[in-house]
Amino acid sequence: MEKFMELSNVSKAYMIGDKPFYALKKVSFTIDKGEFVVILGPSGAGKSTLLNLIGGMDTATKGNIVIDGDDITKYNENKLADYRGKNIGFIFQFYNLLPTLTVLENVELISEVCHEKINAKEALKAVGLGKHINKFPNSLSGGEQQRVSIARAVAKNPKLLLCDEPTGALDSKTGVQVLEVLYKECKEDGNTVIIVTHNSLFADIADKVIYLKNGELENIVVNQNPKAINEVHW
Amino acid sequence: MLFKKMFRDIKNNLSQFLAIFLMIFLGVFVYVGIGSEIEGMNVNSENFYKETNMPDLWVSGSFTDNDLTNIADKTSKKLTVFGNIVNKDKTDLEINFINNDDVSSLYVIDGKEFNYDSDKIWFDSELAHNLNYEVGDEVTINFNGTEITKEIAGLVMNPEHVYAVKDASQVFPSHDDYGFIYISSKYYPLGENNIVYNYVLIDTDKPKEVKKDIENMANVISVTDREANTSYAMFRTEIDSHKTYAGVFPVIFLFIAVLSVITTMNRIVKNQRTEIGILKALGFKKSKIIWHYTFYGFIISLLAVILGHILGQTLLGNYILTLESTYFSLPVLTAEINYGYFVISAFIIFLVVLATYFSCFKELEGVAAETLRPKAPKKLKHTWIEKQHIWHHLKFKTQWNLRDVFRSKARSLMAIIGVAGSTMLVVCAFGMLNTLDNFISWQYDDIYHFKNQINLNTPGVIDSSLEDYGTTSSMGIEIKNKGPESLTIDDSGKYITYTDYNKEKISLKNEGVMITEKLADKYNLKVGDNITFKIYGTNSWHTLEVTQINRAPSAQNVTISKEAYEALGYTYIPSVVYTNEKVSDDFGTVYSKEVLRENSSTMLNTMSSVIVIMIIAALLLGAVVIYNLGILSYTEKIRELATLKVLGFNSKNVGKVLKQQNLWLSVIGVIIGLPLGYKLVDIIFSTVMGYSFDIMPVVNISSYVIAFICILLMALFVNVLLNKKVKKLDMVTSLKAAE
Repeated sequence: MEKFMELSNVSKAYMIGDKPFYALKKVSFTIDKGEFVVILGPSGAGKSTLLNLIGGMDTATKGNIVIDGDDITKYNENKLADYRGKNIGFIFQFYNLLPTLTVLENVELISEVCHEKINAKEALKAVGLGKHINKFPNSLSGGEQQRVSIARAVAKNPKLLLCDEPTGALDSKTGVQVLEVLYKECKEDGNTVIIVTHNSLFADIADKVIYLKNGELENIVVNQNPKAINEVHW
Repeated sequence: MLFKKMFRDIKNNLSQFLAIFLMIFLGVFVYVGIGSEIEGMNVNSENFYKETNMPDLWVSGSFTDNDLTNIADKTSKKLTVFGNIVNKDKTDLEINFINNDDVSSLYVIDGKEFNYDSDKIWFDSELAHNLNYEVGDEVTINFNGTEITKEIAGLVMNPEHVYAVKDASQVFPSHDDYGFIYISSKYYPLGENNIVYNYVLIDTDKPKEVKKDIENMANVISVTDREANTSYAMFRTEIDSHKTYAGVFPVIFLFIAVLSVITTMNRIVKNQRTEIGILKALGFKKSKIIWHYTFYGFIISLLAVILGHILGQTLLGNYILTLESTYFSLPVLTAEINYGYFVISAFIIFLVVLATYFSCFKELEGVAAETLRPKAPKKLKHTWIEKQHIWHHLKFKTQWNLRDVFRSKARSLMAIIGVAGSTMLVVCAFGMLNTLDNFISWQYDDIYHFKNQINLNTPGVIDSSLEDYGTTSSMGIEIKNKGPESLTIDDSGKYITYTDYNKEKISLKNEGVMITEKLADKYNLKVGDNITFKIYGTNSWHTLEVTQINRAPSAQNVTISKEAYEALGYTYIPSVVYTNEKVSDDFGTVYSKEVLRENSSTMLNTMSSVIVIMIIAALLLGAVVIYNLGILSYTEKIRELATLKVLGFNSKNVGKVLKQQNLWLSVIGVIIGLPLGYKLVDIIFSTVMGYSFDIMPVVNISSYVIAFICILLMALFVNVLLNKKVKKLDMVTSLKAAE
């Protein structure tokens, strides 16, 4: 498989008082194109920090993050914004939809930052929301809102889908539906997907599981035979 | 612990705190500053009048030492004549021989108290200052052909000369070429026993009764009260004219500031909803939570009010008085406040606290668990504008802003009102400048058409070398059942034009009288009505028809043509001459029109300085209001802005989204504010000015343009500040914080 991303010795420190506190310490790993990756760890392990660094929402204190051949740690603020806009699809635990835009507009918004690759309506149809495009987000259920945010993320056909606890606010059944959509994105459209979670059940379905603990890389496990998503329950 | 929370809240939202603080501060600063100036004029003059026994009645006539002695507790007699200082031809002197200074006392600035037995003079301290005279200097004066030389015993002020003008025709005081002196009547040059006083000054608690008692005595010509005293009346008028900027303007200023603060406090409490929920869940009593938040409002407003009070009075109030002090002769002239200002300030604090209390109370309704959750969003509906075809062609930021504006109606409305209010104040302040300019040009371009005005030394004695000239004469009249007014007899020809409402020329008719519109309003007269009047010093009443109504900026009087006047049986004796020819000053005091114009402008200049301060204050208020709104909308949208950033919008584009909304709201506010500004100028000059001046409200196009540009520049400047905030906006923490 083609190497898509490489992190080498990535550290992130926050200053607490005069002393640095390391949220991430010298983390290195690689991810291939089209891989379905789960980053696992207890709360405070540095999962979200890692995701934020990869997504260009935050900058690393040390180390390099090379994505598709470009080192994003060298980017300035505007270039990072551009990078996020063109390459990354974000999915958050609490969706982060814009409440004053309709479902369709939330997805169409993407066209302001990058060339729309998939028609917004198509993207919504693909996640099963074709009927609700003119509603406002807060009139939808949690699962539906999360699917809107997935549609928003995939409409630009991003190289990388970053998901921070995407099922955290959802019940098991809806959670599975959401995961299925993400899985389909990965396997059928060839996008790389990284999911951050503390739910160890996710380990079974991933191609690769990266375990984090106290900001350090604990282990990397490659699943030869990942389980089908509908076999997972929580 | 909650205290700590409050101070941290303040620290974390320093910009918001400052904005609120500044709004209240500015409001109180301007309100107290301008108010304390007027109050200072009031209080200081009243104190001075009391201390120096300002006469309650002036009795004019011919009196000897034995006349009218027991008419009241305190009386003084004086003989007032006019003369000048020898070798200083241009300096006119009012020379008073007095038998005592019990009434209208001499307030000694330097030197000795008045003494009947001392053969010296007491000299106008202001004029002495300008002429470099000191106590002990000898001065030679000349009156009616008599020259006397005396030593200056004291430099004094006097209650009858607070507003030092020769007579009512000189609008603005000047201490360079006019002053007064007092000499004991014992040393009257023509002999102590030959003196005939022309005034008796009376200090009494019952002026009406005393007036009745003496009015019909044989040697009494007239009995007038304080209102008819030139200095007293003109000083009152001066205070009244200050009310143009001191009345409506600061009140509205304060109102807009307080309104903005109250709505902001409301939003702040609303944004603290989750915190309120947490406190409640932790078991804090309602009263304690309410106290916590209202105390926040209390402490801001208290600090701002105190600072506004102190600086308003000491800096602004005293500064304005210093600008004006040269015109008034008062020993003390400082800004003063009365308890009314404290009441209003307390009321402001109360309002802010009350508003906070109610918003807090509203959030506290319901159980803790409910308060903890963000408020269930209102069911969003598509507004009419979204149903228009054009909607789908709008850019994202436009759609987003339109919705945001429609969804947060309260905040948007408050933004528009705040900006409209500030614009109104800016336009109003500029308009006041324009109006004063127009006032001057009305008088000196539209009404006066002469090069020189000569106030004759001896009425009727005119330089025979003049070929073409016009004349007028003025005298006091009493209009039956109305009041004392001034009558101008006109033989001015082309040199004075009378104007109507539109500054269009009207010519004086030969029949009846013409009255100014302000007089017509005051006495409810119209064309065709009759007025009955008598000239002071005569005893016959005349009834004439009001045939015309004119408008004049300053002097509000009755005008009669020379022909009509002579038809009443009097001989016309001109006292003022107008001409375009070169004139000598042998026959009277000569004023060129330019000098007159300049005199008027100087006085208005101090008013202009105050107005400039008001413009700056209004612009500052506008800036703070817009800044406050920007911060508010930024804080409320922080999560959405962070989301946009995460989605790949760069800071510049996110800034543009914010900018669009702020600009729109500002533009709408400005457009509403412009005509309101004109309206405010109109209200100020028509209702507040009273009956002595007739001032047309004028706002030049350029003023609108300047106000428009200034406010928009400020909106743009605030956007620059917000852009910096957007740039610093940390996506990770702001998205996490809200979760």
